[in-house]
Amino acid sequence: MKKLFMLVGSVVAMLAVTAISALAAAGHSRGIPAPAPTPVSAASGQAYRIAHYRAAQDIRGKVIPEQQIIADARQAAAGPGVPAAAPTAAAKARLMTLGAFDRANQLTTDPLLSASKLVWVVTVHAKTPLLTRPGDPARSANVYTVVYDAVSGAAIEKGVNVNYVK
Amino acid sequence: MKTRWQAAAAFTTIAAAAFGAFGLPSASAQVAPACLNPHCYSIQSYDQPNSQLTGVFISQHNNNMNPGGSSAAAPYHITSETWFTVGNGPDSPTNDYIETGLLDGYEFWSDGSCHCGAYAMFWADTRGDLNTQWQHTIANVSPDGTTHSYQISRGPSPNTWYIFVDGNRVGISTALRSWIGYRMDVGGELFGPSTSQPGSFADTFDIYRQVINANGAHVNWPQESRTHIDSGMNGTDYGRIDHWYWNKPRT
Repeated sequence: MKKLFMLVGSVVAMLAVTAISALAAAGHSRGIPAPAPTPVSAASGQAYRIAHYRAAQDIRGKVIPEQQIIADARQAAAGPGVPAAAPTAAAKARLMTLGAFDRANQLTTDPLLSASKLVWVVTVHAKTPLLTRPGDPARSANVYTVVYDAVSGAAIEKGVNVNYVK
Repeated sequence: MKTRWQAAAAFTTIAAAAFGAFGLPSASAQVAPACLNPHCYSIQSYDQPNSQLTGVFISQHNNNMNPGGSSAAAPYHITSETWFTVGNGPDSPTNDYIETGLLDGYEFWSDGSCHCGAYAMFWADTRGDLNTQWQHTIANVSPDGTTHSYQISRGPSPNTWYIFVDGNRVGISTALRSWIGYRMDVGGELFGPSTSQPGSFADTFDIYRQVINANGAHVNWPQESRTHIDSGMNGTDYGRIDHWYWNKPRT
């Protein structure tokens, strides 16, 4: 019986591989219909995003203390090839609205977020990397600015080589 | 009776299961000898200089991946995403580009004070000549298997670009210098000491991909321009011009 199961299993596996190869070949020549361009509906996608992004939720409470948010921002230096900034790295923070920050930096505010949202903006003078494109050399800058939801602490955006809070 | 979409979805499911069971082919004539210092890729690329591309589109599921041992002192990351280079070329480090997709790493997406590795949907735009980059959180998600679409497409005014996820606008790029694009890269990237970094892996991602032409239509690539698969990573299109399958075996 065990041998029979093994035999049947082998045949099923072989058939699967053959079918996949045939389908793949057919797809190249005749065009297998593509999956739906939007696998998740817009409505459920929006609900999913809100559920997984604290900055988009109506979280109320106290504003995070300045020294805590500066400590968080120093960690945000970390990325490919570059460690978190030292606890002594120069940093300054400013409490403002997201809309005001985005306007000052010619950015367009995420449509899910309110322009009146209170944010901590922290500029840190420390090395931080850029996300690179395939084939490009590693690149970095020596200053960056991070924007956090002032209450939830969710990171909203980070400008590499952006010196905003002076 | 199955619809065309259901048939395709069934194919994708069977294929993904089989690739998971048997592994992706790891080699082709275009395999690169080593990682790109030390960014390792499994990608396919399409160039169309002077083509007036007006966007790119992918869909993929939130799949398991981990860069292995990432920390504040040694921050590694792994991504599954698309990069869209704007302008007319030629390729140069000063090109402007927009990227979007999934990332798992020790970066600012770690949702505030956790000081940890994190898995997120993100987008970023880079102004190559100024060495500036804006990175944006889309959501702090998890490898829950849900499938999502990502689109970068021409915005409402010159040199602006919309970024959509699941058909919802999540951002507008206003920092770049061009309103056309010429290059799409799609696939996975691992940044770490090497592809043998302990604990690093990615299960098989099935990325559906298209470009958006000058008329705003989503179309398949006529053919790929390049395939780059670093040692230790796998990738294939299995003859399907609208897909890229990649994974990184667990080490």
